[in-house]
Amino acid sequence: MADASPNNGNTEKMVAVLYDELLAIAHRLRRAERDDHTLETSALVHEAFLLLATRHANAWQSREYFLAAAATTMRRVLVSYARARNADKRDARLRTTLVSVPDAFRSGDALDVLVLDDLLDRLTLLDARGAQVLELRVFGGFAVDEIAEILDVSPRTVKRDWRFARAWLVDQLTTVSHE
Amino acid sequence: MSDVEARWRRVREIFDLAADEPSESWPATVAREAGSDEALRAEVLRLLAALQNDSIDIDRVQVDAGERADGRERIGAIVANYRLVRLLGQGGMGAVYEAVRADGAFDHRVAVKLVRASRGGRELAERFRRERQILAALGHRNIARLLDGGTTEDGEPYFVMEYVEGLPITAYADAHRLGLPERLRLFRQVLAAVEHAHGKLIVHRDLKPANVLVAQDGSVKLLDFGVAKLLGAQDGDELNTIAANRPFTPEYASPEQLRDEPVSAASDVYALGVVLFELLSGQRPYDVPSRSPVAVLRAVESDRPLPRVVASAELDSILRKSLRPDVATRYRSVAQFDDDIRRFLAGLPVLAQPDSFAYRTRKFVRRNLALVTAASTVILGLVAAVVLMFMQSRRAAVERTWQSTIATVTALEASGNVQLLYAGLAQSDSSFARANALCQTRPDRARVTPICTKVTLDLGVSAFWHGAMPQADTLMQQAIARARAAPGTSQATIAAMMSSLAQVRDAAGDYVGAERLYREASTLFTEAGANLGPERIGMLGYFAICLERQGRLAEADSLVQIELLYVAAPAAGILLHAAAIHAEENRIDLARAEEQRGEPAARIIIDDTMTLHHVKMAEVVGSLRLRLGDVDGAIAELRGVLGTAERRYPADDPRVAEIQDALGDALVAKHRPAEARPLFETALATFEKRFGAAHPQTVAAKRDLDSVK
Repeated sequence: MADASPNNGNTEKMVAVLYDELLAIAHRLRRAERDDHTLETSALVHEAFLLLATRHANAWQSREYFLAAAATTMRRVLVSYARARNADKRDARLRTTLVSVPDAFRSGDALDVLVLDDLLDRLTLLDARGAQVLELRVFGGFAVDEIAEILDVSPRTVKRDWRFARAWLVDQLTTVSHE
Repeated sequence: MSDVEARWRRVREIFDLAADEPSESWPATVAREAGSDEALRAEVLRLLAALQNDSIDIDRVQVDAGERADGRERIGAIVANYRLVRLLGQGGMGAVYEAVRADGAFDHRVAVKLVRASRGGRELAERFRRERQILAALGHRNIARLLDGGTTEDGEPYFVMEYVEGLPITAYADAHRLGLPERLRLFRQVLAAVEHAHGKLIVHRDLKPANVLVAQDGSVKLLDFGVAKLLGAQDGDELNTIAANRPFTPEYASPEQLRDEPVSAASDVYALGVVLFELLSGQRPYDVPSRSPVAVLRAVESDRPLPRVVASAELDSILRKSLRPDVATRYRSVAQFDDDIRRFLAGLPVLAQPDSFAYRTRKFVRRNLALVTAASTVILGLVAAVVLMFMQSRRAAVERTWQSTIATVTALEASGNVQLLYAGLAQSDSSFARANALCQTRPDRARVTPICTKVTLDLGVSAFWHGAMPQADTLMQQAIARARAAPGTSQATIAAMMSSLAQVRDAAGDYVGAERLYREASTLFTEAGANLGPERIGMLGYFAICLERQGRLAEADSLVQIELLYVAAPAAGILLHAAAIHAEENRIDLARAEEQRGEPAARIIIDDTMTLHHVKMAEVVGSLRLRLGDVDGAIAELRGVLGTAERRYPADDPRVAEIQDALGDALVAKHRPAEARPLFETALATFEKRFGAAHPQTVAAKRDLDSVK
C-alpha cells in the first residue's frame, strides 16, 4: 500500500497512532445520533484532525503531514472493515459512491472499497503521485488546493494528476474489469 | 528507467498534452505523438475517452454507519412478550415502539426501545439483572419506569418502558402558549425528577426535550433514565467516574461529555441548561454548523459570548451559570440550579452572578497561569494597600503607595513585564473592581482617573497582544470614554488612544471601523496642533497597513511616503512591518523593496536604542530575511540582536530565548545544526523554566531541538 505522506519515514508510526484514534472517532460518531446514517470519510478525517490537534497540541510536525497520514490510515481502516465484513459473509457495507447523482444507491453503482484499494495499489506502481492524489481525494476528501499543499506541488499539477488518475480508474472499471 | 516506466511516462505525456486540447483534436494529437506505435495510440485514446465518461464520478467514500432498516418493518414483531404495534420514533440510537402484551393477558401498553448497538448487547441482560434494584429505586412520579430489558434472540438490546403519551417539553410549552413563570414551574418538575435520580447515583447523560415529555395534564415524565447507564455501564461504575462511552446527543451534551471525559451530575446540569435555554428562547445556546461532537465542542469553547435571550438579568445569570463550559463554575448540583429558579420566581436575589471581567479573561489567564500569578501578587498587594489606606483616610500613605505603584508599573514596563502586570491585574476581579471603584467614587478622582485610564488602556493593549480582540475593543473604548470625561486630557492623548483602538478593529478585520477611527484621530491630532511626533507617525503607518490590507496600495504608499518625508526612523518599523506582510503573502519582490527602504532607518533605531520594541523589530528583520531566502543576512541580524539582548536582559529572559530559537532556525536552514543545537537547548531551558513544559513555545523549542539531535 502506498504512503500518502510526503515524508514516508515516520508515517508508519503516525498511522499506527491514528488507526486507533480514527476507529474510536468513527465509533463515537456512530454513537452520536445522526439522521443520515452515513459517515463521510472526509468528515472523519477532519474530525480526527480537530480532535487530535486539540489533544496533542504540537505533537504533529505539520497539518499537511497529519492529513496525508490520516488519509492513508482511513484507507486502511476501511479496507480492514471491509475484509472483516466479507469474512462474515455479510454485505460489505463500505462503499465508494461512484455515481454522484443523488439517490443512486443501487448496488451496481457502488464500488467495493476492496476493489478501489486494489486499483489504487496498481496505480501506485504506475504513477505514485497520481495514486496519492486519488487517495487524498477519495479517502481524505481533500480539495485540490489542500492536496497541493499536502504534497507540496502546484494546484495545476494536482489537477493534471487527478485528471489522469481518474481517467485511468474509470478506464479500469469500464473496460479491464469487464474483460 | 525500465521499459514499463518509460512507456508509462510516454502514455502520461501524450495524455496530458491531448487532454489540454479540445476533444476534437485528440485523435490527431495522439496519432502525431504516438507515431507508429499503434498500442500506445489505442491506450491513450482509451484513457482520454474515459475523461468523457461523466456517468462515473469518483466521489467520496461513504461508510454506512449502521442498518438502514426502516423501523416500520418491525411492526408486528414480538419482543419479550410484547407485540410492537406502532413506531413512535427512531434515531441513530435505535427505534421506539408502542407495544402491547402479546398474550393479551391484560391490556397493558408499554414503550419498547430497540437499540442498534453492536457491542455490549450480550451482557445487557446480565447487567440489567444486576442493576434492577437500582432502577427500581428510580420510582418517581416524573420518571418513566423502566420495566424490563435484555436482548432479543438476534442479540439486539431492548428496553421496555412505561408508555408515556405527551409532547416534548418545548413543544408542549409552545402549544399551550405558556408564559415565563409557567415555563419555569414546568421546568422545576424536571429538575425535581433529575435530582431524585442523582440522589440514587444515576446520571441521565442524554437529557433533551425529546426525553422530557409533558402529558396532557401538565405532568412531566422523563424518559430513558438508566438506559445510558445500562448501555455503557462497567464494573465499579460510580456517579462521578463514569467513562463516557455511551450514547449522547451532541447539541445537549456537556463539554466534558463531548471530550469523552468523566461525566458527573454537573453534566446533566449542563444538558438541563440547554433545555431551559431552548424552552425560554426557542433556540439553542450555540449555533453549530454540524452535529459532530468536535464541532459542537469548538462552538461551546469559543470565546463567543452566549446570546442574551431573556429580559431579566437574574434569569440570564442563571442560564449562564448552568451552561458554563467549566464544571467548577457551573451549578454543582441540580438542587442549586432549582433553588436559584425558585428564588427568581419568588423575587429573591439569585446566587448566580453575571459573568465577571475575571471570568471572561480567565481563559487567557488559565493558559498563562504561572506567569500571571507572580505579577498578580504584586499588583494585588498594591491595590489592596491603596484601598485599605483610602478607607483609613491616610492620604499621605496613599500618595506614597500610588507613587510606588507607578514606579513598579514603570519598572515592569521597562523590563518588558508589563504584559504580565496587566494580565495579573485582569485576573483579579476584585482588584480591577477596586481600581474602577477608586476611579469613580473617590473625591480626589482627578488624581486617580489618569492611572485608571492607563490601566484600562494597557489592559486593552494586553488583550490586543494576546489576540482577544473583542475584549481589547471594549477596554479601549472604556479608556477613551474615561479620558474624554476627565478634565484636562489633551486631544493628542485621546487621538493616540483612538489609534490603538483602530489597530484592534483592523486586526479584527473591521477595516471600515478602523479607517473611520484613524481619520478621526488624524483630525484630532491636527486640531491639537500636534506635530508629527512618534505617535502620529506610528498611527499613519498603521493606517497605511490597514489600507494596504484592503488592496488600496496607492493610498497606503502615499501615506508612507509623506511620513517618510518628515521622520524617517519611526516609519522604518512600519515599512518593515509592511514588508513582513508582503512576505507573508508571498509578494516577495514587494517585500524586498519595502525592506530595503525600511532597513537602513531601522538599523539606526535598532543599534542605538535597544528597547523592547526594537528587539522585536530586529527579530522581525531577521525572520523576514529568512523568509525572503537571505539566510546569511538573517543569521547576521539575529546574532547582532542576540548580543544586544543578552547584554540587556537576564540570561533566562524569554525574549532572549525567542531570538536564540529564531537564530537556531536560521542556522538549520544554513545546514549548520551543530551550531543551532546549543541555542535550542538554552531556549528550551528558558521556556521550560519560565512557561512550564506544556507551553506551546516550550513544545516548539523541544521540537526544534529534537530535529537537530
